[in-house]
Amino acid sequence: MPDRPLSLSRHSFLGRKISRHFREFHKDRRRFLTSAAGAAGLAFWLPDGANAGQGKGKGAAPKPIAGGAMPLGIFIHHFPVLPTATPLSALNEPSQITDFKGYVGLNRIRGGGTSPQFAQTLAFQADMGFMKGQFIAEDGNLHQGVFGFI
Amino acid sequence: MDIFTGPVGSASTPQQIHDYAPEIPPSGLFWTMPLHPDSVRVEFNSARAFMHAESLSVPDAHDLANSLTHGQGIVTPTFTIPPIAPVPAAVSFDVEWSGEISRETVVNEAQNFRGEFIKTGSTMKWSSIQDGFSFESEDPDPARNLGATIGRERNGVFFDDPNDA
Repeated sequence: MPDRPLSLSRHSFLGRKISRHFREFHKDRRRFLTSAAGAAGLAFWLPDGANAGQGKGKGAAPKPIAGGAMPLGIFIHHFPVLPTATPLSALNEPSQITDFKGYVGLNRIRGGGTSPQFAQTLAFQADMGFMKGQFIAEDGNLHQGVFGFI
Repeated sequence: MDIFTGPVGSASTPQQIHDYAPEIPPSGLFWTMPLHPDSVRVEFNSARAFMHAESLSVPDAHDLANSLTHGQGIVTPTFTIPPIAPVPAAVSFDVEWSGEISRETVVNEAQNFRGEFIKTGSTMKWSSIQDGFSFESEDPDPARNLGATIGRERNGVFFDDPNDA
């Protein structure tokens, strides 16, 4: 796969769709990833061309899905994984990223583990996932990347 | 990735002592961070996927409430979680999705996504480390899975894109 933003013609099918989408929904999006990551001391890979393109001043951060759930009464841009017994026809959006096409994965596991600081077994729950593919970032460009839902 | 003092199988917020997740940015992108391109491998036709990371820097927000409120705590009708600031931590994990249970094409116009999805089993082995605490999970156990899905999808502006992902 190429390691730089892909070019789209404004007159292509996808180019027209993207232009319309941004005119209607994304007039004032904020960048976050590089600044938030730096503040948190995170070390990770960023797609090349992170600040290039039509969305000048915005980063290559992906945008969240519109919908989501409300744990503890707080709205989040995420749907919990489909329980094993529930049919796939009832699937909620498993991706955290919108304007995305690619592979996704999501799960929930509960188990146990140990810590030198505790005598008893501790319980854990992990909701893990990934998104691997192409996405329209906050800068308006088409990027590709691999993201973990952690 | 949450740790609780309650019995294995429980996940009660008042009993939570660690909550490892990327900080939620102003955009609202939820618990999502870039990974190295080699961190995820998908064998979709075989209904398998793998995600791996070592010593990934992720803050520990202590509990779900403080993760969602950026360390402000929360008061609910049934319990109160005091404000706790996040602390630096690192996590390592190996997650596997495998064992096809069912496969279906899903078109969800209300949520604006479509694709081919596979319900699978999943396992995980993980660990964490930070100042004054470390944790290592039990070995991967398929019986611990509560739900797992992999998919090849498109959403948002790509919902009607005739080209495959």
